[in-house]
Amino acid sequence: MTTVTLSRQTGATLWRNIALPLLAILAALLVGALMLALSGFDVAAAYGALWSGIFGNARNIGEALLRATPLILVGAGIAIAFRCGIWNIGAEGQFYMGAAAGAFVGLQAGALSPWLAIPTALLAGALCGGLWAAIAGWLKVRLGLNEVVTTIMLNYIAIGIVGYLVTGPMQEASRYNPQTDEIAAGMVLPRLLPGMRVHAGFLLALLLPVLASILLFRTPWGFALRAVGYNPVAAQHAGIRVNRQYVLAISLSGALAGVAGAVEVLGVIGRLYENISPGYGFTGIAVSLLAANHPIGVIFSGLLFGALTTGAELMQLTAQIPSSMTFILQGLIIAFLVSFRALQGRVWPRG
Amino acid sequence: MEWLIGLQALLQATVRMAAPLTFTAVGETYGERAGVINIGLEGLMLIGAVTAYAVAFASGNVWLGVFAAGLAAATFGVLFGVVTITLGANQIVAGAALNLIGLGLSSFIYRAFFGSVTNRAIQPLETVKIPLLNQIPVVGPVLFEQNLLVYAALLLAPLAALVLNRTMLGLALRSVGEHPKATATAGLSVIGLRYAAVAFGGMMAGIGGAYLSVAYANQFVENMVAGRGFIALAIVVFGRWSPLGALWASLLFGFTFALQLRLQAQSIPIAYQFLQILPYVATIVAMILLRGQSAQPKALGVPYTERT
Amino acid sequence: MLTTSKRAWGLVMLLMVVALLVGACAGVNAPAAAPAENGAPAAAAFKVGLVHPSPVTDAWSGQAYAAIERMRDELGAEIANVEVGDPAGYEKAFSDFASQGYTLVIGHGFQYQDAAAKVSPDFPDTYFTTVGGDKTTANFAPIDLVPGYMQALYAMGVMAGEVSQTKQAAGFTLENPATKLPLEGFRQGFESIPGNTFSMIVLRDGNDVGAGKEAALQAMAGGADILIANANLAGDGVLQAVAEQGDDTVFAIGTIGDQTSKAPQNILASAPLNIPQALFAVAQAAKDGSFQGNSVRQFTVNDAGVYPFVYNPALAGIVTPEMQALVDETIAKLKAGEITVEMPQ
Repeated sequence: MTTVTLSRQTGATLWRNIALPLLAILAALLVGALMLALSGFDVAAAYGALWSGIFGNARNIGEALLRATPLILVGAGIAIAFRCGIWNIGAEGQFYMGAAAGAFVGLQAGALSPWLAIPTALLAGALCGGLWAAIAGWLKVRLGLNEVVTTIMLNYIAIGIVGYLVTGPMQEASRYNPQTDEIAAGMVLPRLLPGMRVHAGFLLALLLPVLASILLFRTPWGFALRAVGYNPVAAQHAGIRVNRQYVLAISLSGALAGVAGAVEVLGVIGRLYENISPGYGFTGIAVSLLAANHPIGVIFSGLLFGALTTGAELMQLTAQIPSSMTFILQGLIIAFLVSFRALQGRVWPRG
Repeated sequence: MEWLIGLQALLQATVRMAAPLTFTAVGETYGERAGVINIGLEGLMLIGAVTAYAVAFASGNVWLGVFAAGLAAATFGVLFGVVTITLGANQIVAGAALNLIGLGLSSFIYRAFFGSVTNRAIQPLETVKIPLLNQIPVVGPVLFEQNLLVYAALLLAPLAALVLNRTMLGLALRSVGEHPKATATAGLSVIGLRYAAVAFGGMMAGIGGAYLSVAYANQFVENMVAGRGFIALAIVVFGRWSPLGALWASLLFGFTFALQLRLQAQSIPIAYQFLQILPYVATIVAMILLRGQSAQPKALGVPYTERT
Repeated sequence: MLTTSKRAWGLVMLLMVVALLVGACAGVNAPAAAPAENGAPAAAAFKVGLVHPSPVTDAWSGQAYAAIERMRDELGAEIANVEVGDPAGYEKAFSDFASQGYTLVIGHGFQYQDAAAKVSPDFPDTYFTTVGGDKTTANFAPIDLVPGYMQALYAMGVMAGEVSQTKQAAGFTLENPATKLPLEGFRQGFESIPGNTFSMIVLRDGNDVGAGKEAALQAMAGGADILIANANLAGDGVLQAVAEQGDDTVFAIGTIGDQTSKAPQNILASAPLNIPQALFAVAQAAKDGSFQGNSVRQFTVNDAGVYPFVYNPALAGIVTPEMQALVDETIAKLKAGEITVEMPQ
């Protein structure tokens, strides 16, 4: 499967990275408008609400950043795995394992200084998410099991384990609801700006993709990882230990999904329960692919998806548009962008 | 005798649960053998489920619904083909888009057109007993007292295997997935064969989805596919890209799923979550036990252009 | 990878940051207009907002929607509803309603209690309630329908226990106290008759009708002849399996709404949860200002009209007047405290 590489010419790159996404968004909105009109909805009211749902006030903007945070973190992780040619469909499970670990530390470490406890919780999330992903990596390189299958299965298993934890060993003291107690107040990630819910986790969502990008494109290890993704046989001949790259790449990918889970628990939810992810692991795949598996690009595609989710809520409230419109728009944007990119490659073949 | 009745119920459930997975996985097996991977099966199944329900509700004819579901999902399969085969876009990306569109569109259609309908049930497909054969103990009720779509699923797999392995069309499809350039040199249309494969894959996923809304249930429920599209994707790989392998893998999955429900019904003193994950653990364990040479088509996921 | 592409990315970032800042400035100006809207009309209009987890076409959220429709018709409320299934969006949904001057905001499920507890102190002029939950603040008081529903289903369990020939019943639920605990009440009623056993099956996905149907078929094969589902739409699959099984020796009890139409020949009775009735009192209190914060309003069978029973006339031969009298008698004993339904461990 091909990885999309950035074009050599600045003009072409600008066109590819700015104009094409904007065109894709426009095309998706047009098709969406047609659908809404055909179903008898007021298109102007709908899109007006979508706009003000995103930019209407400071709180909404903060909300878009908040909703983008887990998508960016998960997406950046997926980008690393996909760049290495290992198809990690298991970010959802890795997210849950990270969330469980983050909640565990959040519940236990309240007495410690937050400066120590919060990083510990995030690291625990990364560790658990990474280890969970490493299972699939290990099964691939040692037993030859296809990671597409194992990661999908491990998603269900992880969710089952979290379900067990919140009704068993980690259930709240009153043993009533299937959830843990709330994490200690000192463990809650601080908010960044007054009047907005966006929290310190968003800074991680800006920082970690940059680190991932440096790692991928500026270090020998990143080069080896991408070489494996580009052609594992050639990489093997060049002396790269392919299997090790696979396991490392998927572990790192899982670690980022795990951090996302821990951040969601510490920053937004405040405890663990079974349905904390509305499919971030799967949406994260789309977010990464939309950014051509470039961790920095993931920041923007994550923001776009987060904004659409936020805007759709007002669209639902004021114009009665079913919330599923978000998924349609997201899917159309990806479909158009990938088509435009492919078209562009045909019209101006890369030299 | 009681355990025999229990076993019979378990196996009947196995076959019923395997049917939608078999349709979808056999269709996808064809697509992948022709070199096109479509991870958008969940979306296609949802499109099939909502179309079948809507058409059956409006026309009063369930079979018209199933037909329309196959057609609608095949159309989306062709659109997927335009993006991936003609334009040569990344197949994983396009498949991810298809999942989102299918999820969104199926709920959107249902809410826009059925949101205010109060009695939303339709008459589901009836069980058709095959005389004499259904008298065989255990096997009879399991294999010969099902609805017509289940029979279709059971026949589809061997038929698809036959076509793939023993006919010119099958040979052409397989060679497109292994050596597209050689196929083109032999005078066959790579593009045409791949379009046929994704359209067929779409149609099968659509029928798999239709099974859920009009044969299994008698209504459409948002997100009712509940991950079966992803399971089918796993089944294609687990079944080593063979239609019969897909059938066996679907049956294994159906059996373990039915078994965990049965164990819960028997009040086994194990946390039910550990029973719920049984099908997923069993799949991994089975893959470990049955591991061997990968049969992945060589050109899987690689767009074909005349230039390269 | 190449310096030119790096520059391009830099430019993209710059543009996005500018766009965000412009948006933010435009946004920061907006709330300046909001307070006027916030303060003035609070006394004028009675507005009720509903946050619910699933489409209003399903049984659970449909009940809440019926509740606000009744508030509109009988209390003249302006109503609005929003479906929010994504936990990260709960708080925003509550604060959106509150900041628009809504008098009462209802969260339809225990899962909304954290968000209501967090948001309510910021909006002292708005009342908050959730259906389920035990958290409270000065202007947030949840209602808890579970204790009464456990009692109501206990009575149904006693009746079903008399009807059952195989002396086995099965319940189908989701991992959520609002769905699971009422069936524990049913269990205690059913098993109050010596020799009866009840088994509980937890389903993973409330939308998976197929899994509900299979679970019911497995339970029937295991000998259960009384089935009760409290599992949202997956419960429809259970009732469908009962309706299709052909012989009339297996029966079901309907929950949440009157479900007779889903298996007309097999539903002995339904035990609807009259959520509109329960929420109506809350809305009245919010309208006349007598809303009590810092408390959980627990409903029991002593609350008139919240836990009705609907018997299926087609099965009058089984649910005889004597049988109905047994149910009434059980309810009377529950009211008098002669029978108590225990919280399971």
